[in-house]
Amino acid sequence: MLYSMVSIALQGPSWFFGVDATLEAIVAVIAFLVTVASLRVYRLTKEPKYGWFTASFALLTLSFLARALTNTIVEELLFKCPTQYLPYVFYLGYLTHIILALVSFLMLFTVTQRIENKSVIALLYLILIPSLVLSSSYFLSFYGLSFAILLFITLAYYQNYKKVRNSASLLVFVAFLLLTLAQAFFLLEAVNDLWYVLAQGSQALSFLLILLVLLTIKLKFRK
Amino acid sequence: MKRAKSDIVFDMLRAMEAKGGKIKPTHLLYKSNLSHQRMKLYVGELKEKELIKDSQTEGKLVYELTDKGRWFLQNFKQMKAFTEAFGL
Repeated sequence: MLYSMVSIALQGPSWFFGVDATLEAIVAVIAFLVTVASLRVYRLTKEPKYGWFTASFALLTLSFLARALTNTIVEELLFKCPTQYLPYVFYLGYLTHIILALVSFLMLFTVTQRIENKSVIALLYLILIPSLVLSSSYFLSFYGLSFAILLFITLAYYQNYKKVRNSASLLVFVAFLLLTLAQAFFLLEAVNDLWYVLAQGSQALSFLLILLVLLTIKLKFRK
Repeated sequence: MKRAKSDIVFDMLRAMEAKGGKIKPTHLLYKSNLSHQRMKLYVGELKEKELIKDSQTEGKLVYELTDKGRWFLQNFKQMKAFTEAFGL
């Protein structure tokens, strides 16, 4: 029983337990900072695209908060007081993370691709969400779908970098490239535990680059 | 492409800042690339929000950027850099 719980709830090598939750918490904090910055833009302009961008990062914040909390609770429970409810905690936490992250990526996709047709947006959700819920493996479907959506977002950011040609837009492009690669690395976790470490590292690094963009902008236009 | 209202306001305030915080109405008209009628509307709104004020230089009317206007412009520059970086 305990063995099956361990195999379900623990990801990556044993020396990495706890580090993953910390990295996810850092990602949540950075996503929250982007939410605040974007909300300021929305309040100043009232343009819907900034509203959607804010909502997207707000959901991403909650998504990574759910994942960090789940990993912390699961690792604590598993080693201190194993319970039969552990797999439920794990699945509930990860399902929350998966659904919120996927909706967030879809929102970001519609904003970066400048899709304004409501029917097209509704169709995207109607195709993607059931394909995840009805899947036999939430994890494989989630990382596969995330990889595909993020790949298009990354391409949009590459186009933006070519247009704008500044360091901030380059950092955003590289950040989303790393986040896309992280989804592929998560998919490879079944092959070797180290892919999980690489995925978490790549994901954290992508958000640290986004933090660098925020700090650069803040310092450049210091009041 | 049609400029958003926020872009027009940004261009006007930036033009004032580039001229040391004070600008002649004719200069602003040229820099903001608006019709006289539309510029008057925008100037009215900026004055109402206390971002600019009327001032005199050598007995002639100029528009002057207020402290609130400078603070608003800095915020706007941050916002522009943010939206540009994220391709918004």
